[in-house]
Amino acid sequence: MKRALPQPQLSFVIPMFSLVVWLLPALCSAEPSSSAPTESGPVTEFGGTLGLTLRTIDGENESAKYEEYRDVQEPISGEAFLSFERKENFLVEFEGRDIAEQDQFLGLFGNWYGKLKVNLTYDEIPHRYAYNAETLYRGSGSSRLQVDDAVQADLQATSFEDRATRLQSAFADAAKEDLETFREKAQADIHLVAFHPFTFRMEVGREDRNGTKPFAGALGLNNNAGMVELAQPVNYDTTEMKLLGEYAKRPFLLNFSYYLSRFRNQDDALTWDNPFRITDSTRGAGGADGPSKALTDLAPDNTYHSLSADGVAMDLPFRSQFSASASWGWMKQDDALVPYTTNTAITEGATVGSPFDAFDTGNLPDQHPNAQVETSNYNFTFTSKPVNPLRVKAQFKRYEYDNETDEILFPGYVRVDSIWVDKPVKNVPTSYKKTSAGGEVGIDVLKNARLNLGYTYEKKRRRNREVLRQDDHVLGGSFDVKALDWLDLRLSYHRTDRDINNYNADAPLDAYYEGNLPREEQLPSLRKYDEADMTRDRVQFLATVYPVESLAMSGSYTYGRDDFDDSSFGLLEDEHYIASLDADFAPSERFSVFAFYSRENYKNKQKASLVPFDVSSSIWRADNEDVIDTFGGGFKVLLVPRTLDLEVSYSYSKVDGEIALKNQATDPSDFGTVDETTYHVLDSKLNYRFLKNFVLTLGYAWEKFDYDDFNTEGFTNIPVDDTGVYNGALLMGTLPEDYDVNVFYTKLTYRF
Amino acid sequence: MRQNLFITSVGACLTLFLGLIVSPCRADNGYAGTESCLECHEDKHGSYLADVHSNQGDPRTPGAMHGCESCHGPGQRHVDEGGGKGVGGILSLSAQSPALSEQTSNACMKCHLNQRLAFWSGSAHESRGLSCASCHTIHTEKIAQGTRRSYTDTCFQCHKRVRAELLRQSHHPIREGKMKCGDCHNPHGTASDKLVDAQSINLKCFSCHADVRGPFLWAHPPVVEDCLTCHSPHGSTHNGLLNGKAPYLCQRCHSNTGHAGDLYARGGSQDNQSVYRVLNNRAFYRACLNCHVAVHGSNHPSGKALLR
Repeated sequence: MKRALPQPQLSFVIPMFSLVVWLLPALCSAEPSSSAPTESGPVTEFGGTLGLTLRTIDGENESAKYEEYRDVQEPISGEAFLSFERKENFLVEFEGRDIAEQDQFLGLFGNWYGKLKVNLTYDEIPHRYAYNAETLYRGSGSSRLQVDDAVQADLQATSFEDRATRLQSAFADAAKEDLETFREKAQADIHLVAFHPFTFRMEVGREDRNGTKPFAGALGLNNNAGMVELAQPVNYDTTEMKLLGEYAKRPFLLNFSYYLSRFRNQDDALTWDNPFRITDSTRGAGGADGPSKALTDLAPDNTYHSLSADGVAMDLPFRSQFSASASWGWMKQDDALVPYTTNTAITEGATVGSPFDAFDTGNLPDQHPNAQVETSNYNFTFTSKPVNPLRVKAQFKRYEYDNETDEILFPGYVRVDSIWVDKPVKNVPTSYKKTSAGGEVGIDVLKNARLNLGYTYEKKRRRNREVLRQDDHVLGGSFDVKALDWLDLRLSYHRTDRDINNYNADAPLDAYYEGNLPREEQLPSLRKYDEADMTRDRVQFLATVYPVESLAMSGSYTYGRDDFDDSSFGLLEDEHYIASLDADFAPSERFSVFAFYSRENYKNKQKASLVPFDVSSSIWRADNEDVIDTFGGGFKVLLVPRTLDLEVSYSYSKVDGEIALKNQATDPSDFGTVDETTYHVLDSKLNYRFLKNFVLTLGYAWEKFDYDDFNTEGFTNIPVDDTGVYNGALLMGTLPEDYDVNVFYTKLTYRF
Repeated sequence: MRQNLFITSVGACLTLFLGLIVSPCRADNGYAGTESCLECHEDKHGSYLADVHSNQGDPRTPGAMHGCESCHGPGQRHVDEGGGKGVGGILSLSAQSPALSEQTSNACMKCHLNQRLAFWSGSAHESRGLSCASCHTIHTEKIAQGTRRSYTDTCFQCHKRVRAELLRQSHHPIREGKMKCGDCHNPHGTASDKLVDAQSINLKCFSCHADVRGPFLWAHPPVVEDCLTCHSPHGSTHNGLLNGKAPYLCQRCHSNTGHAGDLYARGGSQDNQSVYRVLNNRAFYRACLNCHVAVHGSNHPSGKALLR
């Protein structure tokens, strides 16, 4: 089934491309070459390839996963590569891939040799999340999702025990829709090189992204109300511009650039009906009342600017080089704030008094967040090779993210559009600064081997987080050998030792909450893994051998381990290894074959506790493990030289995932099926060359994808518990789905 | 601010000062001419002519200067001494030992000097003995711009783990040919970590995901610092390129009162029952993300818990 996507917003780009493709050679040829002509005068060449593909698809192809980022179901598509060159004067190329598909790429490249380069590209990328997702809501793609009033009224009048039955009845008429976004990106890149060593470049891009993607909204913090899955409208426009000026002539390189990125969301907020209520009401935490509709803020418009300068001084004494770069960036976001809620029944609170309309933006302490961040980045690198075989490097880096967003004190907030919470809270902008300094010494041992040893110290300083000061010491080295014509060896090892000065588990909460009101508590001995004391080991080994000229074999092994020895709770350890083998064999010009295999293993252990903390029966453990096997291979054989060849490739990947759980009190069972997949890809094609310029390709491709997870076992849009009672969720069904697809295709290519 | 100005001033002064004391370039003589090269290396002629380097219309190319000798060095001595690999100081410029990689790269960087290459010296690839020829093939017909698969295959020669990660069910559109390694990384060296071509990893992510750039009224602090705290950009077995499975991924950091520290699991006797029957909406489907949808940050006045 072919699905209709939103109409391209940048559709003007395609005819524009066609026009320019044919006009540019004519325009360029009007300018005679200023370069010295060859003896026979300027030579003009026009050539390229044109291809037309016909395909048919068979099998289970109703999974959005199959076409997640591509379009394979179009019966006809084209490709083109056209090149027009006036030798030593200019070149114009046009490239089109997957033409007429929803993932087409068009590119026009012009190069007026030694003067100007122009690249114009237009790219379409779909992102498909789910086909035939089921929903009670109307208005998909808009910022207002509605449920029929009759359904809301009926469910409001229904007892909680009967809710699931009534909901299932209403769901019988659920609409089916595809959740997918469609991204179009047009870019122009103009590069003026005529004034070498001065060059100037301008890149301008515009991306429109439209469609819907899975989203959700909570209606309460218990199963009485639960959550509903929604289609979030995506109507994003992003404009980018980069200006660059550069001077590059040994021994100097200097450049300055300016970058602008401007993001605009056409939908400021999403309002969605509560299927279970037609009238607003407030409720206690355990009640079944609540709002008739809810409001979620969507991605805010924002702008980012940056200025950068890079400088390099080369050919310094002792074969040295000094590089420096500095960048400054500014992020700004000032979308108008939405009200605390759209629930008109919330009209009072202990601290704010009565009347207090939480749905009135006039009652907000501020109308705009005035959110802004300044970033800065400095890097200085000095390298030198004072004497053979010694090489040294010294580097200093600093990056700062300085969040200068206004702190706004709110007198309270509305919990899931249902109840006013009388706890004054304020937003807490977090900032950090990362500074590192380090050095590396390299020695060319013997003639064909290099040993590098290095040390880097990195300090991180934060504001408004648990750990304000963190120091990393990274010590490591590498050894690379190309000792023989038939052997390459690469080995590296790095160890990171992270120290923190103090872990204040309450720091964020102290900052968020004003006053001494009751609030949630953080488990005091939990250490968030990005801020925890840690040692990290990384080992990488790669060996490539060429026993004979026609054979290359390589093996690699990667091992990594993070130990959080000082963490009693949180992530305790994280370990992985990856081993791989590859072989390429080409015994003759008529035959080549390749194969590869890899095994990956990822394991980690975590520990947590429910309330009360630190009571042995409350403590639980989760040990996660993923094992992934990937192998593949293929061959290419020339059956009849210059006339007939066959190419076949196949790959297979299998993921086994499990989570083992331990708790003294509840004896939990393990999850033995966690995001498990098997994925087969076969591609085969027979190419027949005829009439000098034509190639006829007959192809067959097979893809099979299976996804198993404890969340796909027994999936239902309206879960009910063991007693048949509504279990707190109204789902659309947007998890990945299996597919098994055969594609037969014929492609005719004409070269000229 | 004063500290920033200081660092900038020091950097600018150092660059200028060091540039002023550089040793002057020496002129090289002893060219034999391209015709002389072709007497022995005729097999390279066709590929050289088809290559952009032979274009005499661009004054910056070898073709407009000394032809073969622009890159391989003056060849008269090589000719006089009867030829042979390295004879007469001729450069072969093929992928070679670490010790010889520098001269290979220097030959290219005589002309290829621009912002993308500013941090080549001392970069991860350079210090491991790679040269331009380790990844680039010179004597070949030009590859059409935008041909992206060959780019990733080049990287996969060494980066085997990344190749495997791209086959994961949750991935960026790299294997579909819509992205290439160079869209995020600059393999020639960068000022930032992991050869990411931006001031920071997050700023690179935001170049496509500007919707989560914010800054938000209510930020999620680890998001502000590093997207990789929760995401694996090359591919993941878990949905949304996540490093782990929700709710357990979230519970590595969140174990406060309320419900974040609860164990969400089936009891021993519920082994074969659907999670939709025996667990609640904090555990099944997208778990925490069923309700905490604004996990990248919220701009809603009631969004402190990232629910709106």
